[in-house]
Amino acid sequence: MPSLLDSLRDRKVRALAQAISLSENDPIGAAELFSQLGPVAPRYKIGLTGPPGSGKSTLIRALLDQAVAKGLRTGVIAVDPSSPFSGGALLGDRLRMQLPNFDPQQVFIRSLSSRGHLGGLSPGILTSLSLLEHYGFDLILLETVGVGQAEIEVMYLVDLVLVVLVPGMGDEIQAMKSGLMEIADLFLINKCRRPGAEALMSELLTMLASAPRFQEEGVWRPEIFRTEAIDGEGVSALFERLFSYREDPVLQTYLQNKQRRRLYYQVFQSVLNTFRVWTADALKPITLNPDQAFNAHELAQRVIGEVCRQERARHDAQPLEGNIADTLACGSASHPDITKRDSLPRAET
Amino acid sequence: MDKQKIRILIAKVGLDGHDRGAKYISQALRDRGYEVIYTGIRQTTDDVAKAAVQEDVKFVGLSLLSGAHNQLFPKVVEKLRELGAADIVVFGGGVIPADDIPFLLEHGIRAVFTPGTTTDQMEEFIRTVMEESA
Amino acid sequence: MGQDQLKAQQERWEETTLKKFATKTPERLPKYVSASSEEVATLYTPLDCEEGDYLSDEGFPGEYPFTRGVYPNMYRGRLWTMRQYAGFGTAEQSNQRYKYLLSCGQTGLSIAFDLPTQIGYDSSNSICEGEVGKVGVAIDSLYDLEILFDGIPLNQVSTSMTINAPAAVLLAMYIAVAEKQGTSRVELRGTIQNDILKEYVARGTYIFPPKPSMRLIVDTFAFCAKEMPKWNPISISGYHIREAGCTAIQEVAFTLADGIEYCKAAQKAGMEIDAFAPQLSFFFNAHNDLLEEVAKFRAARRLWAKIMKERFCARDPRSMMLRFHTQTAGCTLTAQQPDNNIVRVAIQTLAAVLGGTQSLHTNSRDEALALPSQESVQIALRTQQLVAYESGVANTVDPLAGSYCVEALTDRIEEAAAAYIAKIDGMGGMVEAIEAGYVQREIQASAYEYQKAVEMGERVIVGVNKFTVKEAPPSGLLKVDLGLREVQIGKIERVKAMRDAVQVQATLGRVEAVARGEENLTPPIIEAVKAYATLGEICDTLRRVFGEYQSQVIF
Repeated sequence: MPSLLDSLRDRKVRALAQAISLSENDPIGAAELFSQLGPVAPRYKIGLTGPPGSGKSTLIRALLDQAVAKGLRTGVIAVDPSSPFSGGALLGDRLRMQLPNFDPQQVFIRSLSSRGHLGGLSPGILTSLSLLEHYGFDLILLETVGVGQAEIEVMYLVDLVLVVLVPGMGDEIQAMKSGLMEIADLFLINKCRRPGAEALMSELLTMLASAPRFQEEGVWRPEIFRTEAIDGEGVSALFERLFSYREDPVLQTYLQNKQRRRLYYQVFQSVLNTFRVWTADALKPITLNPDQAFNAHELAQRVIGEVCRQERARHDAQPLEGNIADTLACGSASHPDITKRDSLPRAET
Repeated sequence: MDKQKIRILIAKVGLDGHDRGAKYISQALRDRGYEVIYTGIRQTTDDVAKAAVQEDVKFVGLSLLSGAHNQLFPKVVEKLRELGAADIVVFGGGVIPADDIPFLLEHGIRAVFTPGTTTDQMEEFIRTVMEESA
Repeated sequence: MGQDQLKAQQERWEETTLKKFATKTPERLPKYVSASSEEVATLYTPLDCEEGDYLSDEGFPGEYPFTRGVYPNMYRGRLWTMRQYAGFGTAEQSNQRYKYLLSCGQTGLSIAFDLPTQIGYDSSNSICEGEVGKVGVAIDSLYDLEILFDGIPLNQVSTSMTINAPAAVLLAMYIAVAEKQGTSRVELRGTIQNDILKEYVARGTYIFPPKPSMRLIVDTFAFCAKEMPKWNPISISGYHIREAGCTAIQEVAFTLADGIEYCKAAQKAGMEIDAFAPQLSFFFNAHNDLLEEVAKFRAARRLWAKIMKERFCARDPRSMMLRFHTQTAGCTLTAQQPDNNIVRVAIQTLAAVLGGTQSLHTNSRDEALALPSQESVQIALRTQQLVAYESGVANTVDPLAGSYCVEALTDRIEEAAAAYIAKIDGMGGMVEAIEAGYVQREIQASAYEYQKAVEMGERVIVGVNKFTVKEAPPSGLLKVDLGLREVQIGKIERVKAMRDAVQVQATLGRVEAVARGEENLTPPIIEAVKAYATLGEICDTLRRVFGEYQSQVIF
């Protein structure tokens, strides 16, 4: 039987699906295993976030419609919260996204549960997204629920964040104002034929106008789109805009800067995740005695020392090639800038 | 057995819209800690199999009340095999006459749950399968 | 005796007689609840129905608010219509079953269609694999309906058709068959279910999105008001919502809220309320909890009468009458010890009759296992006949009225249902409430709680979680021939070879043009049907114009 890595290289759908499971179940192990796939060229990634019922899934379906028509291969990851009581999850968004009789090589949809992680995103999500990149999707969509401080992580994972809102939720927007401004690159007023769409629009405009950082010349200022995802109204305009970076220097620069920040964050997170596991392992054999005087800081120093010593030994055995600055450098041959590509790939003929 | 890591697709194949049972079992399994993907009604056997592969589930539960189970259930098994996923375990439920059960079992359906089945019984089945494959 | 005195006496009784007795024989359960999980008291007295006034709350049967019944002498004048829902396989097979049922003394027909027919597909469509003729009869074109009613004079029976999304097409076919028999549409009696809103929340056989679906429905209202005075163009159905697991209160609330939505849509299209409201009919579920169910029917009648009078300003008393068909609750049937179902159905039959139904279908004992056998269908029909002729409950009007318990339950259900309706109004109406997933979520929550209680053994289901026995699997169940789809495909091919293709294209073109405009769609559909355009062709034409409903999952 071919190994999972070989099957992944052969672009087997099943292998991709299993690799994502592995990333969810064992984030560190998976990250290590899949690093053998080598560096990957970043793909255009769009995040969709917004409150439940705002129509994110239906919007994804409409975007998939556009993507399929243009011959773009698209991968979707939809994250839903897990049950706080059982840890289980009931993931029902797929139905709203899936096109009937879809081609599984062209459209890949995966529902994930947050598995209890605050912020809605599990540690495996980074690896899962990079697996989709390895697989060669032209476009990657990430759906997450909710907007707020806890959701900030999404902006480090994707190139652009679309915040999906619906008319008639003015109060909620007020409440999450700071979170919104932090993460939104584009606002969507979905279900835009409902009463209250105008009010929502002016609310958002006021909010944007009052934020000093959007007032400068040459700075990306979130745009507002209106859509009615259920029948596709406004979706093609949105789709064109997403792929217009070649014609729009402000957007292009913005994407490049974001990409840089994102790569930094990914490495940062990856280091943290790894340390989290190491630390847990190092602490496991130690029995703490509540009767004894105790200095947490001192103990921590010793654990760090122990972890570093072990890792040092491992690295000496298998040294990594090259220096860290080269690996991290953005825009190198192994990390081509997505905005340097044709803005909208032509349909394959 | 880490239930969270056991993913189950509950699907309604065929045209009937009676999803009370399918929804109940989806919720009940969620409440027992499993990750459940529910497809909604009117799914084709083809789309169910493709979804099962992409979602990397261990189990596919099919619910049908219209009587088309003998035609549709084995089709899902067949499609999974075509997609290289013969190891995904398929079970079924709904208004299924006892006479039809042997036929379904012969055609790759691992278990058939008729009305009155409890969540405990279903969990027992899941556990047995997981132990076998461990 | 004044209220205060009664209250003092009741408190005394609770503190002394009841308490003393309960020390020796305490109540078996910490809490008693109805089938809908509503708490039930130990005792009901006049104190529980002290508000209101007999004349305005109950009144007399045949008069506003119709709590006691829509007709003055109820079953003494005419028994309810015994109408067994039936249909399977081909038109030929179902035609035989209908003739048998009529020969057994059944007084109306109720047509069950297979799922492809209900969703507007021809049997030849690949999506129909395995489904043709399964849950009802397969109808692809007028040709099938001609066979279905062969030898059954349509001027003598009333026919109910469980058809929703393509209801206008089946109505058109029925008219066409009748006219071939020499019966004009004015004489036809019967009902098309035609209730799309409950399809979105509970039953699932929708085709088009809500807006064009509502337009199709309103078109049939207008058509029937003008041309078919004895026909019910809709049967606003709570039955399936209850089957999906809602409570009695929700059943009343969501059904009447659907009714309100249809009235609003018809008014918006320019119809006068009294022009169509007398033709609206309803369809409820008869569940196991006898007293709660009787109260439910009475509460629904009173609430609808008030809605029509106060909200829609109807003047014709017939507009205020909630006339309804009832079916015993399919979801209460058990696969275990199936003969127990005969008793369940008998209790449910009593509930429907004591609740004043206008027509009734009784389920067969084996329906949790398969399609009912002929013998089972006969027992089900006999159950109705026993209640009608032997039990005595049909001899007087609304016999449970005045029971403290039933009146208290009636008041409570009405009040709680009205509160739900107010909430739905606040969301903008039923279409908006459905789009927001509110109704589905409410039903879902009730269904989940009910089933959990069964699994925990808190709710006893005889033969399922208590009093179980080991039993051999039943045999001899009715099976539908697997070759049916081929038979139907052959028929479609023959029809297509015989018909005038040019005329078919012309009539379908007309359907499409009218669908894009605003004229009534029923007449061009009748023309298409008469030209032997198939059901699938007509529905596909409408799909092109209206689009299809995107189903959703809501938990």
